[in-house]
Amino acid sequence: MRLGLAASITAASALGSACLDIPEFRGSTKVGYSKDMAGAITVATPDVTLHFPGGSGFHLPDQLKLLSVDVMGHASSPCWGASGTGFAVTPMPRVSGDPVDGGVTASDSALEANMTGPAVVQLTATWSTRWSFAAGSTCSTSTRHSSGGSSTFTVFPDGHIVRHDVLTENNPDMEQVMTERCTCADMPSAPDAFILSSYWAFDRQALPTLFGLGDSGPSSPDPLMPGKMYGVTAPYDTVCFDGPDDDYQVASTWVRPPRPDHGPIPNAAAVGFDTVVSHDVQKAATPMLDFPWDVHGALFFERSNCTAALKRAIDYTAPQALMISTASGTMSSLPSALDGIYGGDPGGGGRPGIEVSDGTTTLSGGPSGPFVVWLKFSGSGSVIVPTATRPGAAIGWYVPQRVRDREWLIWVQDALQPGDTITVRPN
Amino acid sequence: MTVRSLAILAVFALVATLAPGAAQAQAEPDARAQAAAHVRQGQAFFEHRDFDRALAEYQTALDLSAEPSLIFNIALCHDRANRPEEALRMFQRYLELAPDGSVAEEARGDVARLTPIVEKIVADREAEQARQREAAAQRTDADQRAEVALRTAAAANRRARIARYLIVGGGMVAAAGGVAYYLANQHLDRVAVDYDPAQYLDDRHGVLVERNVAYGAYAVGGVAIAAGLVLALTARGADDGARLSAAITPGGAALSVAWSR
Repeated sequence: MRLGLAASITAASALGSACLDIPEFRGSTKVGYSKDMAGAITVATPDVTLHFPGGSGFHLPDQLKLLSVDVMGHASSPCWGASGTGFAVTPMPRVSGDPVDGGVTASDSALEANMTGPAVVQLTATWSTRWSFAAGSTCSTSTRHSSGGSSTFTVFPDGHIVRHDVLTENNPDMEQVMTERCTCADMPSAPDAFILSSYWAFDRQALPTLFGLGDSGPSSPDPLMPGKMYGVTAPYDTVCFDGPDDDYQVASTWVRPPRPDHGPIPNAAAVGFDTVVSHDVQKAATPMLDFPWDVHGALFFERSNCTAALKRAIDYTAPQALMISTASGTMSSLPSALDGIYGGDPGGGGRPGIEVSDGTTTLSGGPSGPFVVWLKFSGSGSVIVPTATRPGAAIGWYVPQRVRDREWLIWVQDALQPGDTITVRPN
Repeated sequence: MTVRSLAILAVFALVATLAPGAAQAQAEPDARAQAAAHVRQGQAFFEHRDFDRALAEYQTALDLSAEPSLIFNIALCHDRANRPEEALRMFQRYLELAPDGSVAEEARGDVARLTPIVEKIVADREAEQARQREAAAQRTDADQRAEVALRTAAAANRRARIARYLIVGGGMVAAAGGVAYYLANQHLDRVAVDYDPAQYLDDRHGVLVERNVAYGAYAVGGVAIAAGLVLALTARGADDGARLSAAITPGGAALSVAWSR
């Protein structure tokens, strides 16, 4: 064979190469999200960590760390002491993700991540259980008498958490439920009554000092006695807990459900063995315990004093409008009380998001702190990532977060002062 | 009768015709005299076995005198010069002109003697000519086949050369695509940690360009290599060989193509 080697070619590297997929924009993580093998989820901001347990039990948060200190209260009794985070139908045992739950078991339980950051994390814990849940409880004997609920927690970079609870009951046999049949005794303050409660339980040692908003406003909050029940109405449903040496503060506020049929009922600012922040409705024992329950509230964390924390709570209950200008006009928007997002969950099964054109959108108005707006860009195709400009702002002042193809959250780090504008463009 | 006597006979014949004709014409005797002179000269050459010059003298004399016996002498010259065909033709010519001539019998004897010789010569010549024609025909076929083979080989070489260009060029284009792919892959890491949306868009655009260049180069290079392979495999001769090998590389797969001619 004549040797006339014409060529030796390394041709390809292409033939077996994997497709080169460009990662979607992720942005700087402001709120961390992680899930372990057991399904437990941890949501973390620089100062706040919220833990949702995995497994088959209720996935309501069982740990709330502020500066690495678990401030959540944990009860040892199943009877009307709140524990962790959850629902209480006192004197029936509570629904809680806390391991010490008095034997309450979930028929169904799920934890769904609606948003996983980088700016906003939102989780929804859903569950159902039978009223005869507690071993030995005689409150209910019907196996068909059940209840279900969901709690949605929306966590923001500044560590504030907005919570939205829904509780439903299924009682096809019209079972009569009486408090005197329950294993747990009636609450002394509410004989022959069930007290429905969505609550956060806090540890008294971690948060030893309690203030109510009071009539004087956040600049002069009223001292309250931890461990004592206060039958308070607004503004006393907004309280602040102060940590040791003023290291940290937690402000809580609940928004009363707009239903008059169970009220006016005192919102318990503090009950039981520990400091509890809850939104309660007391319902007298009736032949049938049928009730709607749709409440929401928020927690705010500060590292200064309760005045600052309470001001933020007030901003949540009385927010400033955000002005949104597009080519088609200007509209104003308030943050959803259910998730704290401008253009967020409107409730009633409505679709979130503020419709804007695919051109330039200008934001202005008076959000007094960090805020998030949910924009829905018109047109078709995907928005790769929206960009925003703000005069004088440093890099990282905003973080876009994709919800779906043309729907994005824009987290803005700083308040919008009068005259300030932010320009947003889809790309 | 000897040859010599025959040649002399011709001279006598000429001289004999000169004597009574002296009064007939002025020019004719001169010609015949000249013819006689040429005959004698031819005779002399003949005696010295210079048959060609003798033949020339006899031919001149014949032209001057038209004496048939000179044809006989010419035939003798051819015969002695070993040209039997011309000799036979001249003897036959002589017999046509002078069937009762003085040397007619001898001419017939020569004809009888030469005829089979000439026939054999003619037969041999025709056979040789036939053989030569066949050889020529065979040479023509071989030439044509050789020409076709040359053209085929030239075409194969041309295709092989094009194949080399295609494979080498395709390989280079694909390799350039590999470089673009590598760069895009490197830049992906940067895109993944771009926290600023505007920077992300810029870097993403760059990666897209590099990726599309890579994919385009892969496509073009692959097509060129495939076409080159087809050409190389169809253009190669019996002794040619192509080698194709593939291997997994850190960047993907490597395809190596080599052939020899």
